Amino acid sequence: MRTTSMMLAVLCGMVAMTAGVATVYTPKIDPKKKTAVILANGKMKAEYKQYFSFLEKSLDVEYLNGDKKLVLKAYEEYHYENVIVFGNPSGKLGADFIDFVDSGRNVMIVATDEGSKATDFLTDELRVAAVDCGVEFTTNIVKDNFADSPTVLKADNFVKSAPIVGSKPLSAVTFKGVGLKVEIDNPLVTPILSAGKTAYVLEEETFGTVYGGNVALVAGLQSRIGSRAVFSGSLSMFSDKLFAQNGEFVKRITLWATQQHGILRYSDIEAVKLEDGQEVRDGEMFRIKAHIRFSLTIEEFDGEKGEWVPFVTPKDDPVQLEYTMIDPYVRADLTQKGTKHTTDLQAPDVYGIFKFVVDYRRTGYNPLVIHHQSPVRPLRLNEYERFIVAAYPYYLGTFSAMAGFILITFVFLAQGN
Amino acid sequence: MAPQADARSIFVAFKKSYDEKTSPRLKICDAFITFFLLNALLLFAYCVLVGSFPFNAYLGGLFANLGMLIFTVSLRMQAAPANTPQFQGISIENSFCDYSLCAVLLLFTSVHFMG
Repeated sequence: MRTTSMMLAVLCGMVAMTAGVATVYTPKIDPKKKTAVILANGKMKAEYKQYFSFLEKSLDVEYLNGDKKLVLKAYEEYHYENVIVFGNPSGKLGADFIDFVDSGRNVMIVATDEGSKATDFLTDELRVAAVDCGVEFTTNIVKDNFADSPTVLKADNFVKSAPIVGSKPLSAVTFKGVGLKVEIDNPLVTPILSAGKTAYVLEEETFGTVYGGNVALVAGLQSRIGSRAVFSGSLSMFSDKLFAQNGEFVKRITLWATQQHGILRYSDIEAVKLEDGQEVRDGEMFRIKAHIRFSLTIEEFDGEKGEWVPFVTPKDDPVQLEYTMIDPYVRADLTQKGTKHTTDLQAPDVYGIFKFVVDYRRTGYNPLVIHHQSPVRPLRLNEYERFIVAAYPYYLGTFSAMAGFILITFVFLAQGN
Repeated sequence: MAPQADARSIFVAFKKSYDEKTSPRLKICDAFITFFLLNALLLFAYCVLVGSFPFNAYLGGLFANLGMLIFTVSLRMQAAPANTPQFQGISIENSFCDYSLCAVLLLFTSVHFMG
């Protein structure tokens, strides 16, 4: 009696505990992405207050010291989603930034704008990381003898890309720092802010002096999987003193760099057979010369609202669709109807395994590459044309042979012989 | 008087010999042979002029007529009295039965092939 009641009590206790745990324990869903900001020195938090408060609005920021080693991942799990190297770190970080970007995470490297030798602006390991991304930091400051002050530039050559710098025109950015050389034939890197025609960076012979518009001040890499790396030659661009002029620009490139702007996704790919303009869903394969309606939904992520909104393509730059089997047979522009991008096309007179290919690559957006397989069958044996008018003489020929045969039976057999 | 060996006299002699020597049955066969041949030639001419678009229809018509031509030729061969020793044991009705069987099969196939 005592043992059974004890067992009952234990059982009740366990049930109560699990019930309690089930109601109390809720896994923490953190919508803000974890961001590491590596500071060059302790004074920075006071000088860059406005920028850091902007970061903290949408990101879960962790401030780290530049003299300690940066650990980005452990056991194939990454600790952060974004890393911002804010100024030249005092020690060796020892982190693999390329692997970080390859995994779909973002990096922003900002060089210090005061110093005498190359490593004062940016350490060698960060220079190497930037070169691996296609951007080379210069070893000297950008100068412009036609500006008010030789080292302080007012740059307004922004890249023409709405996700990176927005669609509204930005005021000129006050810039003081090193320049960047962007690889010309690299399709993934673009300069975001370029210096004016009269700017230059005087380098030692081995590095190569750059002039004018070739001097980039801020550059960005958009990888094929959507991750981004932004490089800036000036730390003071982000400071509180210049936030009035540079604030809008600095906010926009940060939003782009942390994948809060300019991210596209697709869904609901549908290819439906059309018969007399009506959609027919009978689960059957497409036939040669069939009329097909293709549609898909493309959405863009809005960082401010934190939700996916329908992607609106510019009027003169629609998304293109290819209906291809090794070579494209049909190329059509997708017209936008609400959230759907759709078009009607006719399958060619060739059968095989076709693909609907959408390959949308634009500066500032992650590449949208869609391959949707769609087989096309030849005509069934009861789908061929019958009673073709051009063939009436042939039909007549056969039936006259038949008539001849019937006639010959009567005449031949009737003839005695 | 030596017989004149020009083409016209050969043709006239041939025609006279043909009319007298061949039995009516063989003449019927000959008539139908020329009929099927003309049909086949007409179909061929139409194909050359207009093109072979429904090629299967063209082949169906052509082979029906050519096939009937060949069967009628072999029927004539079996019906000719000069060939009777060769076809001992096969009566004329027997050969006609073979002929009609072949013709039915050929015409059946041809109609289906035309589509």
